[in-house]
Amino acid sequence: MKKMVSLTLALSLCAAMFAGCSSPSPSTSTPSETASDPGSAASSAASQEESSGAKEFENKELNIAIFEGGYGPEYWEEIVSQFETTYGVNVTMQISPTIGDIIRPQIVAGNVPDFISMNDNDTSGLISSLIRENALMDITDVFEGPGLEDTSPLKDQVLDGVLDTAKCSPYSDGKIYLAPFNASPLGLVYNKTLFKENNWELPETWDEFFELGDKAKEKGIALLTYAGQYPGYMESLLWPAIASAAGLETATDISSYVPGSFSSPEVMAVLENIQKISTGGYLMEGSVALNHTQSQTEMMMNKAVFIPNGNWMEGEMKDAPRAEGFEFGLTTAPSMKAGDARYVMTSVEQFSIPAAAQNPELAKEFLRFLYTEDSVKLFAEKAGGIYALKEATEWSKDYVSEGVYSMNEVYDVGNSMVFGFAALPEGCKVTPRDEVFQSIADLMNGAMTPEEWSQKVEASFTEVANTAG
Amino acid sequence: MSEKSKRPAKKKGGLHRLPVGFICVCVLPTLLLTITFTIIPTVRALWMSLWDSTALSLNPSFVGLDNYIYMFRDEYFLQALANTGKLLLVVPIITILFALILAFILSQTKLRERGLYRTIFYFPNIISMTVVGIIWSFVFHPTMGIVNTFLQFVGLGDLARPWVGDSATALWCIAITLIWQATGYYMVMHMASMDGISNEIYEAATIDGASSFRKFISITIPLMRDIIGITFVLAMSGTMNLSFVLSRVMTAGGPNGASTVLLQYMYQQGFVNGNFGYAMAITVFSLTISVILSLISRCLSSRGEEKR
Repeated sequence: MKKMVSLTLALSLCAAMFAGCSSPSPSTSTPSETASDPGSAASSAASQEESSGAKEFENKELNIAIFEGGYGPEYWEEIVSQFETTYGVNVTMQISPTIGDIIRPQIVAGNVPDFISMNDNDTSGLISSLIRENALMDITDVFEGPGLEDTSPLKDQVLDGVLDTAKCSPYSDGKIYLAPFNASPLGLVYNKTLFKENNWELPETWDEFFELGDKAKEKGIALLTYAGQYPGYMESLLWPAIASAAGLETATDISSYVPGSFSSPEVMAVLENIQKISTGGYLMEGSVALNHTQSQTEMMMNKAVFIPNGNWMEGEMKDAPRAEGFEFGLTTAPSMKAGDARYVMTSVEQFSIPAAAQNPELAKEFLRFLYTEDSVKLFAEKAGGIYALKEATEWSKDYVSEGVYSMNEVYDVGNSMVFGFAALPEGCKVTPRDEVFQSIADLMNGAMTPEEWSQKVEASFTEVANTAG
Repeated sequence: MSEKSKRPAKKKGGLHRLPVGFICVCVLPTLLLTITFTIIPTVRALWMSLWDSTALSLNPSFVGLDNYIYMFRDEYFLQALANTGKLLLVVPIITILFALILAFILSQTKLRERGLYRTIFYFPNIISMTVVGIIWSFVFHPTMGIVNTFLQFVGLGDLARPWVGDSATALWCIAITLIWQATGYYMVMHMASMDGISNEIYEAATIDGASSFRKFISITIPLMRDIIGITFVLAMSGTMNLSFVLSRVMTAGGPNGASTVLLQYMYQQGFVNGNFGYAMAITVFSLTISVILSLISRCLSSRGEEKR
């Protein structure tokens, strides 16, 4: 008996060691299906047609580094093999969720990849370092020039208002250093079924927003929850609200740290409304302590009406419990007055070519190749994402999931806007983005007023200006 | 006299006959590994902290001590420093105290289930820190966490709060988790050392009518002064390192930096903001603090020894 007990204990100790190793990633099993997929057969046939007209390149070696995120590796594996057959070149691909950490030592050692695809919230600091060090190649010529199929200039094929933002031209000098990859709308995610059941209308103005909050309160539902631990998610509410209340130019000024831009009366009105979410009792209790998945789960259980998030939430939460009949919908931040222009924040991830790339010409061709119709469709089919091209939504609609497609309807409510902070000057140690979002926790807890919030952000803008000299 | 002086000479001759070549071969791999993986990186960190370099260090400029000077103007750094200080003040002491008490109970009383308890108390140590962090973030979960549910159940619902989201409590949630996680480990170390104390001393004390508490204070603690000193230093360095993992998993350093610790701020500046030079300055500073603290506590415990 005693032996049994100690054996059980020893075994459970061993088992506990592996507690962190569970939940195998489902995406790894899919590549084998790729070959037999009829959809991809069609697209590869199309690319073979093209091959007769493909350019010849002297240097046939291309090194690319790809961030493997929620979109999985299948798209990249497929598009790379298509590019190889079309151009008769050899592509070496490194793809990993920690690609930044992998290629950083390579870059320092002088072994620079020709092409980088990096996620938006790159935690390795690689892209921001490359930007600060002026180590990216100017790729304006690619966008001035024609696309591979559609021979109009590529810059006209890209979604409006993307290329001229700091996301693509980080030095605000009109030159493009980063090419847009996918475009996904951000905003307030809600449950369509919940709205139907209660005959609620989507709010257009802040007043309607809070009225809806009062109605929801009677049903025991909070108006809003958010990932309190990662207040950066609030961007999909904050920036569109500011753009609507104070104009798109103000948002642009904020993104380039113009002193005074975060304290105008129009901006203050928005900040006060953000605070009212908490002081008026519209914030789900405990939100400040939740991480992103916890808050998303609460929202999907109908504990809150809205959550600031993006169209990837459907994929991210596909195994999560939810209220019966839950259906994804997306709307955007309210405006001050009825009839005011409203904006939808579009998240854009980027491609880039390092200045020290060995084979920049082939890398640029690869970039053009990615913007072709087949590539866009393949991306929609394999990854469920939509490229940042004007035609992309149309091309992708047969392939992406219903939730993603219906969340794109948010562009009927407001115009697309892209927000990305400009590159910080070298040697700058403050991060205005953190000052903006980290303060939200204190604001929601009542430890900070909107005035203090705005002063804190303005102080960081001033410091950025001082560092830049 | 002459005989006496001969003896040491003989010993010296013995030393010469040591297999010096063999010793060198044995020491060499460790020496090389230490130099490559400990000494060179430390020196490089020290060197880099004097530069204004980014994650790539393509064109850094020499800034001297600027990074260190900026550190003390940086309110987030000072906040992280204060948070680390608070944890260092509280966590090691409570951890070692609990570990001692538990070890004393388990080794001095005749509990039948002591094997079971020992295993259970040691359990948290085997679980990966990330998992520990996730488990405890659910304990403190504002709506379905056991803490708030329990408070409501016993009618103290007013006390319930979003523990890890409140700047007053977030850091202490991490402290509690750290203590829970480390106590078992030090308990096992203390038990091993307690088993080395002769039972006769305890028996004599029992005959003199000493209570268990008296025995703990007057026999166990003085005889274990050495091991307590060592475990205390270990607990301090553990607190310094592991608080980073927990604060990353449980609170993400929030709310508004209220639970950010030094190493986390270093990570933030180095890997998120790409300020490698500044991050290295923070690292060097943290290293200095750790070394000073461990020196102090070693001094204290060895001074106690001399007194004895």
